[in-house]
Amino acid sequence: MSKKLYERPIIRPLHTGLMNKFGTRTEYAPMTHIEGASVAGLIEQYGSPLFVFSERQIRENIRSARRAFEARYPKVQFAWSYKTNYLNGICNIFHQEGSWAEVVSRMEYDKAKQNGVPPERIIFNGPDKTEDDLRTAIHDGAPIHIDHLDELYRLSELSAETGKRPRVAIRVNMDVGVYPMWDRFGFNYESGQAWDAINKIMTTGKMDLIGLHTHIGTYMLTPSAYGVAAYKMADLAIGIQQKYGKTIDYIDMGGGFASKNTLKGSYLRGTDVVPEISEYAEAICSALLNAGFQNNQLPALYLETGRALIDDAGYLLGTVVANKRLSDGRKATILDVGVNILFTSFWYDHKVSPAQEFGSHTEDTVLYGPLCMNIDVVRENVTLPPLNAGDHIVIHHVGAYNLTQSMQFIAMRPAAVVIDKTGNAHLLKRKETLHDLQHNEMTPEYLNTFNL
Amino acid sequence: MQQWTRHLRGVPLSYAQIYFANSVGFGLALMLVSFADIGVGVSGLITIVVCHLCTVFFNFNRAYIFDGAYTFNALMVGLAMGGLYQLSAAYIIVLVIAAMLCFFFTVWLSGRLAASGLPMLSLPFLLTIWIIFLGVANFSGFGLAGKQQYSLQEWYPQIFSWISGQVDRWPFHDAVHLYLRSLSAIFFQYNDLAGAIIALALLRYSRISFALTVYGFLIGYFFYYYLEGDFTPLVYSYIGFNFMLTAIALGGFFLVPSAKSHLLLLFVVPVTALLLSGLHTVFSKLSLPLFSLPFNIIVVVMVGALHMRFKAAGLQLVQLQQYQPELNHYKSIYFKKRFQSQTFYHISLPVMGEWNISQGHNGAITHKEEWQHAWDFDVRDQEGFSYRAPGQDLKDFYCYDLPVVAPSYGWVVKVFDGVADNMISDINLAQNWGNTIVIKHAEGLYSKLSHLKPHSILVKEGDYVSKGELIAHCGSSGRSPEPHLHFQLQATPYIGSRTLRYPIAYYLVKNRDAYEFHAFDYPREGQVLRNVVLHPLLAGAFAFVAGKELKWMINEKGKDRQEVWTLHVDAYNKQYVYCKRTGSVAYFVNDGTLFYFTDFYGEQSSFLHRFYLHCQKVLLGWYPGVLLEDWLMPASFFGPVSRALQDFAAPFFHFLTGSYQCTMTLAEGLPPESGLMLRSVATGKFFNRVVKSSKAELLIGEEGIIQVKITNKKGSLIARCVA
Repeated sequence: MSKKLYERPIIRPLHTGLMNKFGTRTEYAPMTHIEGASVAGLIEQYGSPLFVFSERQIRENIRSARRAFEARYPKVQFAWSYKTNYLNGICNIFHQEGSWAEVVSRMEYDKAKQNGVPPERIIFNGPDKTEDDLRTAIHDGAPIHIDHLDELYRLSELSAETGKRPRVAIRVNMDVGVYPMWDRFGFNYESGQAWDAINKIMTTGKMDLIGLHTHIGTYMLTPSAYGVAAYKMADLAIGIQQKYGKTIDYIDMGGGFASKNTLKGSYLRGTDVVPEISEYAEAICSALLNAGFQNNQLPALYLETGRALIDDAGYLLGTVVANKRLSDGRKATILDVGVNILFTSFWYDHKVSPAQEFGSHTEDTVLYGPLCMNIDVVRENVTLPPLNAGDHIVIHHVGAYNLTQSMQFIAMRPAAVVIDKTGNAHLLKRKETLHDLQHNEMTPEYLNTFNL
Repeated sequence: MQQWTRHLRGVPLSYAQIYFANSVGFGLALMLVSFADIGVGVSGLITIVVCHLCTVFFNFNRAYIFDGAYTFNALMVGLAMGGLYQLSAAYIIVLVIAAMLCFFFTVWLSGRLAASGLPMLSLPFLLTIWIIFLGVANFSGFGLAGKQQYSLQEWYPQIFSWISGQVDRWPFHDAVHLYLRSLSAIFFQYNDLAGAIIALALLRYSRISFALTVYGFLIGYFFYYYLEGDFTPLVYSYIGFNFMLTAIALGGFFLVPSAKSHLLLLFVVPVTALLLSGLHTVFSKLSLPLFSLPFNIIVVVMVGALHMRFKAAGLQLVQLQQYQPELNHYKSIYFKKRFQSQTFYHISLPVMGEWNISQGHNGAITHKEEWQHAWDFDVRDQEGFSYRAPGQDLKDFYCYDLPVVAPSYGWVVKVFDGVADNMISDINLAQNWGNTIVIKHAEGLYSKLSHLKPHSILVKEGDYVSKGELIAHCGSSGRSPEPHLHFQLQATPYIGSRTLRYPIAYYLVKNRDAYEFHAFDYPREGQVLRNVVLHPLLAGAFAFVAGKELKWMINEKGKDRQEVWTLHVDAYNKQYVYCKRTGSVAYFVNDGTLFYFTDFYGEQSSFLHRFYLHCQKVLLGWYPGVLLEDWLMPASFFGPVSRALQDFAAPFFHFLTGSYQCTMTLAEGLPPESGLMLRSVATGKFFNRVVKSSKAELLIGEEGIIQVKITNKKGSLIARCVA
């Protein structure tokens, strides 16, 4: 007979009128295993906290996204957005699934090249490309997405200097009926800036305009906005065909599809309100198909989806450090997971599940991180069963941006593993050490010694 | 070609037409034979001139003069009369009148008969010559004098007697004499020498024709021999040629030469013999020579009868006359293997992306009896599920609400909308087809798409839709327990019509991570398939548009040369590449999915011929791993001797064969966006053993075909395309 579960007693005020018919209960079942690997075992082997990725989930995400688009449009190409998660192992899963690379800096560009992506399949985005970056991209034949006129002029000069025609696209921003409108990247559609840039490219004759790119925003909850954007992009492409007789190779609709995370302040959970990828696909593809392209002149459709393909494949495992009660009576739990490695907790209410069995009682809790900083709050309010120091928790939907934006602060950053299809864990990145932190530090000779 | 040179070419071709040939050389040999008797030769030429003048003067279609079709009957009249009468002014007047009469018979009869798909053969000649024979008897004032003997025998007694002497030594010498004389009698010559010359010329022109003359003659000969029939008509008027002409006509000219056509002759030649002896009895009473009447009757009857078959299988009528039994045979065999596709309307899959066939033909669930030739489509994930968990809602099914596109061009003839989607696992038997579109593609060819999502149909009755046009979305209405698309082809425009077994033109079947290419095939249950999506580089490289010019810098064995090709379209909308230097022509088709060559005429040494061999069939989509195979004409690989032997054997079996394989890879040193490589192998086989083989690498870039490298045992050729 197994030992009966002991939970410390809790005191709960009785609320009348606020209960719904299901009562208040923790919405989550305990998560003891991820893809067949035990949470406790992973923490024992790789330490806590720990980033865990599910290979199966990643592949399923990209495959279902491809299926959703390819069943609606004849020519579709995904490019993995490096900034979302550029652990080489993760990038390569996407490359194995046929995705190209989308990068926004020289560092990412070199990383993609080093991963073995042919440069012609690395889409070079971003507002900050140095002259040397551009020269390299021109030499390699990578598609360069122009962000501003200064870059356009620079490319024009460089093409004369290098004697090679850059393969370029322009980034277009536009009003798609959602607020806030992203107009800081690229050239505006409504004001005619986009046409101005296109005219400049076509009249210099020094560059090959191969595509058009837009990225209407991030975490977009309205698929119809993509329909508007696709329509406007198609309008530009058809206009270019009519004015210059030039057929654009591709329209790049960027990324921004929402993942299943719950935004802070959202009344409903992300899984309930976030559109399926197929709904975005439907909006984009039907807009392009109905835009009036001549037969056989349909441009290819490029997608730089990041967040929606990786977020739910990433988990962050943590351990309870301590429990305490705040002055107002609220329960608080301190975890070893802080906002420095869970950057997204600033805008998401991440789903948190205990990693062990629990009883039927739950309590509203504040989840704090381990940093000695007031802002280190993982969840301001979460309904969880009573947790004891040393218990493990699993934070869901952390695959996007957390690793790339995580910051070494106070403690060292954790390791990351991927669980393969057979349930075996493989290290993607080991836990950082003091050496990693210090190996490019230099201490002047005279500061080496002191007496206390 | 100049107009007058075409007229000039038409002269020897008139002679060749008598033996169902269109070779100038063969015609010239016959012409030479006709001049063995000056009177015969001159008479023949006069009739040809008369026909040419008539055509020009009365504005008939000159094409029929240039190939000799309008002249050969009049020519026979001339040859026949020249052999019977001596040259005189009166004779020439009668000859010209006879030629004109025959010409108009020819024009009228050929037109009338062609409308019924029948050949005119030598009917105009028979009508004319009989009228002349009967008429001349009443005009003794013309003073036409009959001839006594044959000039050739006076001029070349030694050669003639030598050949006759040689023949006399062989056993069956009667038969050989009779064969040679009958062969020459077609040409109104009655001697062994003319027969021998004609036999050699015929052998050089066509092995199958020659073999058929021997075969037909032997059947007739032995038929008489064994039945102890009255041999006299054969011996005295040499009309044994009726067997030979019948044999050529039905053995290899109007019918594709095959073992079956040879078997047919076993029946037809004795019938001819019976006709011959029967008609001889009647005609001898009228004092009219029978000439080729039995041959005319039997061939017209047989061709006419075969046209009326319910199913044109087995014995095949020649569709496009090549004027040489060899070509009729090879081309029909290879065309049948290669271009059966052209007989089907091109239907593609009515969906975009990868779909799964959840129920194929003769399916276990609903594709039965009258409706057995249908397909159900859905979308599956890697694990083979058609839905994501929990699978209780329509939206959980991957295929739900996906676009459905028109499978081909056509008119929307029926739209049925308004049936609600079922809950999962419910079925609606009252409106079992659910929301449905029927599209008419051609007379007797309709496609029907069913179980569509309600109110998702974007077309209305009477609309014209293009292939691949978005017309509706996949739903689950009607007898549909879970979302899927029902697709069938049918011969009638009704919802509920019985299905028609009709192939999908081109599609790719997923086989692990690669694709297999299927052409005019029937998708099977459990296959995951998709339409071919064109690759801009490949589609661009093979967009051979009329008016374009391709210039090649060719380096072979260290020597540089140039070849310039121009692209054309002929009056029948057939596209072809013309090589200026060699005058070679290669016909091709680009149907939007495949580029393939259909035929080649001209110099085998030209680069165009090598290109024709190595781009026999090219898929215009980028699918590495797809293997395209095709047959090649063995004529492209082998020398004259083995080809001649093959010609003899061709109707029965082929020991020379040719094959073609094509794959695609990335081009080394070129980025995938701007360069691809096509690799093809052309192989010639002798009894299934590879004896000739060459490999080609085509480098394809943004400019089109950049470079072609062809390697065989003897060395390699590199051709670069300049502009």
